[in-house]
Amino acid sequence: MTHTHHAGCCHPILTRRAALRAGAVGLLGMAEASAMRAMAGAEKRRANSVIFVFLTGGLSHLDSFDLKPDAPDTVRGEFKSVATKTPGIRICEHLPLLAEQSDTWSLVRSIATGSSGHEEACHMLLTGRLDMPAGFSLQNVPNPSEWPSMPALVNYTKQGRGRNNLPPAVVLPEPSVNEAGKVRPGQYAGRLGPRWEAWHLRMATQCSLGNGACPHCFRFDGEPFKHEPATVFETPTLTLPDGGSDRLQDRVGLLNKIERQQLAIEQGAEARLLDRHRQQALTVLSDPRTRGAFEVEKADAKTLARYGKNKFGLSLLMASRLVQAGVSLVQVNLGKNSSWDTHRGNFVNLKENLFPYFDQSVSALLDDLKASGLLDETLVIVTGEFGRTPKINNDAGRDHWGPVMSTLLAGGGVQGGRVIGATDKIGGEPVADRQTPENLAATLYTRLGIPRTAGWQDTDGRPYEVYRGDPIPGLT
Amino acid sequence: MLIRLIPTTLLAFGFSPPATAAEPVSLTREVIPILTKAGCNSGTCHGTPTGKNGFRLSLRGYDIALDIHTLTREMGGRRIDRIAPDRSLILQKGTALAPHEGGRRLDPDGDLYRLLRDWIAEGALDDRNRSPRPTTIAVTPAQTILDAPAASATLKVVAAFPDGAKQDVTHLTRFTVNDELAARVRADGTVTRSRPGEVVVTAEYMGLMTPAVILFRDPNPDFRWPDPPSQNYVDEHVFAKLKILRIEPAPLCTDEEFVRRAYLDAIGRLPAPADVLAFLADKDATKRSKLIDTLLDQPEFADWWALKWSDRLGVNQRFVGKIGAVKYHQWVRGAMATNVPEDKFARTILTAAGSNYSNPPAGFFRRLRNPELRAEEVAQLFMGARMQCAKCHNHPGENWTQDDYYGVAAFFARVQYRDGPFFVGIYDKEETVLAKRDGTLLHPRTGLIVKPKFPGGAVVDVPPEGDVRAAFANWLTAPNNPYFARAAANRIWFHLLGRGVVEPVDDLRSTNPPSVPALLDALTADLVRSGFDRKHLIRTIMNSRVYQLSGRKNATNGDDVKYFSRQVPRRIGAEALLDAVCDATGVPESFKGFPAGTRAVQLPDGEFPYPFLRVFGRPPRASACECERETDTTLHMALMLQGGNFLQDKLLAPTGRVASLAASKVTDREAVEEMFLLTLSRQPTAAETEKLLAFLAKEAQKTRRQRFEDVLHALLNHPEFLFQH
Repeated sequence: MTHTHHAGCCHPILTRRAALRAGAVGLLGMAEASAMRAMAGAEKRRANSVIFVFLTGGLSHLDSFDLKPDAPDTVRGEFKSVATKTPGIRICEHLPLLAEQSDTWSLVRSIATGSSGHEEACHMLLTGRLDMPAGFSLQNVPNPSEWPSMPALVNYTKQGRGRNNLPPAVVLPEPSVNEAGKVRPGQYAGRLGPRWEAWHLRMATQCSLGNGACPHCFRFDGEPFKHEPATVFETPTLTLPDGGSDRLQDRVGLLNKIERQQLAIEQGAEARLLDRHRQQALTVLSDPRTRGAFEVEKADAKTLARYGKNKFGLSLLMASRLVQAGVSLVQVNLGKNSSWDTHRGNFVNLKENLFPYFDQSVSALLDDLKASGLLDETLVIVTGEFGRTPKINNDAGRDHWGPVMSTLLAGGGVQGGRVIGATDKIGGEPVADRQTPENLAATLYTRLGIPRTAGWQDTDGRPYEVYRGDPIPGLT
Repeated sequence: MLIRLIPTTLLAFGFSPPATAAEPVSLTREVIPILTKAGCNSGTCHGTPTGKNGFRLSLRGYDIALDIHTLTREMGGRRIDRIAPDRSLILQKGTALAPHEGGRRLDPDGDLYRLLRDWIAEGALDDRNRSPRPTTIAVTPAQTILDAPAASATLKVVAAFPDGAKQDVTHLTRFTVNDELAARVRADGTVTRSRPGEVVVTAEYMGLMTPAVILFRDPNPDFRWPDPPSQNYVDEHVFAKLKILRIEPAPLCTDEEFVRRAYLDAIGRLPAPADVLAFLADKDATKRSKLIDTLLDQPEFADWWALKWSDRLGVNQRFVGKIGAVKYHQWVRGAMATNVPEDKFARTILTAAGSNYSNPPAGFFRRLRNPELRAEEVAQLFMGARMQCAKCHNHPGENWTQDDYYGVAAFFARVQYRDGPFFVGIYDKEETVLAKRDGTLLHPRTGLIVKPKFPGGAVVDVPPEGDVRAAFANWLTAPNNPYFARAAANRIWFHLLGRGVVEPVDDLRSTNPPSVPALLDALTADLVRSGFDRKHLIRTIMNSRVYQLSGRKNATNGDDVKYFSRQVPRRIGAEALLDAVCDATGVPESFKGFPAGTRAVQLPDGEFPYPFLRVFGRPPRASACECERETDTTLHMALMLQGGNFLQDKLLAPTGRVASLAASKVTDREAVEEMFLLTLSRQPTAAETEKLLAFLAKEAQKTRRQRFEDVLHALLNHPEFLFQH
């Protein structure tokens, strides 16, 4: 019987249930499906992964990776640029650990969104598309008309099946929200439909502020703030019953005994999907590797000291462990959307509250990946949603700046010690190799082996392509 | 008529040959349809709004002015080479003689290539202004049954022109099949089966579409139609179709299956163990009908069906304010409780005005901030028509045009808003919806004022006084309106059977025909005849044998998910599932700000923050689409049911079911029975009892209570608990 509904037009309507039955072949077409199989074969040799570190709020490029020491006072800022291990590449003096590793990473100093609003720019960065979807709204967020996030698309192209019985894409430790708890658009499956939602963890503790690297959270007005909860993370959905994973296994074993496989209900596609997710859940809950990933606060003291026992360090440690366990894409929201939104006290907050934890945790991540041999197959991307204004405002802050930002990339075949693109004298506009979030997304998708021809359909059956740009050239 | 016909078609059709040699190839009737047929202007290729590799065509050729300009003027005219036609880029690329990402779309020795080349050689003439457009196209056979070994049918498409002329346009028609795994269709209209089944082939020519329904059957000499008795017209129509399809329906479901199913579908909750036992003990032959009548009169009926409408009407604090959400929900629930007819309900909403705290249905317009959005939502909600596509281009799957779209939008162009009277802040405020007497909508393409126009129908002259929305509402809900009752009947069926007769439930169009056309016709007629009585239709459907079929598969119905030959399981929705877990464990949830005893299905506000409801796919209520509700399972759900505190707290609660069972004097066997009734609404089988008793006996290191926790935990994760079946 038929499960597929082609509307007899350009919008082949495929119900989600049909999509489930059709699997990769029906959705992507035979050519793509065989390409995917080829990729799957290749994956056995190289388990490619991406860690996407989102400096939500907008990292100041002028004070981190694209300093302008010769610019006028109104632009230059308080930080000095210092030499890195790589001749010719200079970055901020307050990122000393990263400076020592410059042979590991490269910079793209010319990524432009053209949008200086958090909502639009987050949507662009997180979905890898510059065009706003019809029905895009600043208030109605999240909204099913948004474009699908990169993690959702990755989940879709992998058909929900990750390595080692794990979900393919994870977003942690919390959604990108601002101080008031308002969710930024572009983080969810949107038009792709909730079925393909990536696994979103919400495990940051209920910190009334949560700005920055809890427990070192801070207020922009400089008022002292004390992080109340005893922990940085909490994992209410990941706790095990008394008796631990043995008890859980008992229960699952009992359930398996009383499931009557001959019944129609248990032969149906829906029940098979449930079964797959139950097995993934069981892995997540009881596999020591994934439990270890979520119980990062219990990591050994040495590891904690290297990463930093704070929200930045623990999030990146978790990402590192999840990638090792087999997750393909981990998106880390490093702080709340307000954390890097340095309209006020840009310099003092970067220097005291953000850069120390950022520098320590990202360099620990790169060290770990290198030490474990995973760096070659793990692409690390560090980016905000936009840069910040060249002109320093009256609150010693910098405001939103869509024309250009800096992005750091490492691993996954990226050659270290390179700089792609450049900005003008005040860091206001790209003057060479202008790049876009679409190209950044293409870089990510390519790394994960997603074929160039891959497509997806929205819940109304309209067809779209995964790739909207080309991988950033010159990195590999 | 000026269409140059391919000789074979011509002969077959028996027309006297027009002066083919002298007649130039037509841009409008040949070239553009060829680009459509070859897929050049499809949504994934050059028909996408940004084009592909610098070459943009209008989607499916809806804007020929744009296309002729693109073809002849851009790229320094290299796309078309009138001197050496074969060197034209469109031919070079189309045949993949020049590198072409889209591959080979044209056979260089084929007729389509020849027509394109001739058109170029003749000077690429633009006949937009003198070429007639067909009024209809007809496909033959429109409906056919083919028994193996017959494995293919050849379709013929004839276009009818305003002057009465008819032309065979099969060779210029684009064919698509709805199920490519069941059958393939070739460019010449030959449909060949891959496996038995019913397929719909859509023929498209010059923006007109028409479906052909082809049933491929295997000979099955052993098949005997079991001739099940019919309870009412529902059964007659479904069984007639199944008989043709040679699908044997499942047997009638058991009383245990029925009582659970009827409770969940009619009132959204599980039957209590005592309800199950009482129903099983009842010897009355009409007890199923009696139960249906009883359930439809329960107050929970109103809660449950109000939830469904609230999902579609945007009952969310972010749209209608915190207080507004409560009042809006109360209003919807009241309408369900008093069974306000569907037509009156729709008219009230569509013409609602005033402040939305005092007149809650006015809240409907608060989410829909512009005429275009109102048109889309109203069409999807009350006509089952997805007109969104027609905003930017003529609908590629249906005969909706951009003019239809803006014609509907014009009915809703005079809605305006004023803050208040109640105003706390931008996110928590009342608004007054004003139905103004003026206000116009400009057509984006022509820049002219759009007059209100019924879809596919007449332009309406609006009296200067009066609410123009009322004209639309009256047209919509007239008994003979072709859309309203049909969409409503299909939706009610969808909510009871888990799948519309037309699926997706709100995508009714000629190219997406119902799986059982006579059934949808009959349901529609019944709904109209009953005065749009929702409860009447629900009662009729639930009393049918089709509704009461079991889920059991047999040799012929195993693959069927669309002809209703068996009950197809579906996961219980977020709210009802939360209530079911609470009932089964004996530990209710407490919802902040709502009185104790409030059930999840009664929550008025779709944005009430609640992790379980979010994880289990409560719809965001941001659009009228039923597709918003997540019906699949996800990893989150599995995690929440297997680990975590949610279920654990309920199993451990000192006031809960496990605690009371463990403390009571019941035997293990009785406890097992009770837990089965609480979760699966049935008695355990002997085999299940045996396995569970063995488990309870074996796990001696655990307390009795811990063992019961494990049993109830397993049952709450059982597909038979999580699914409606």
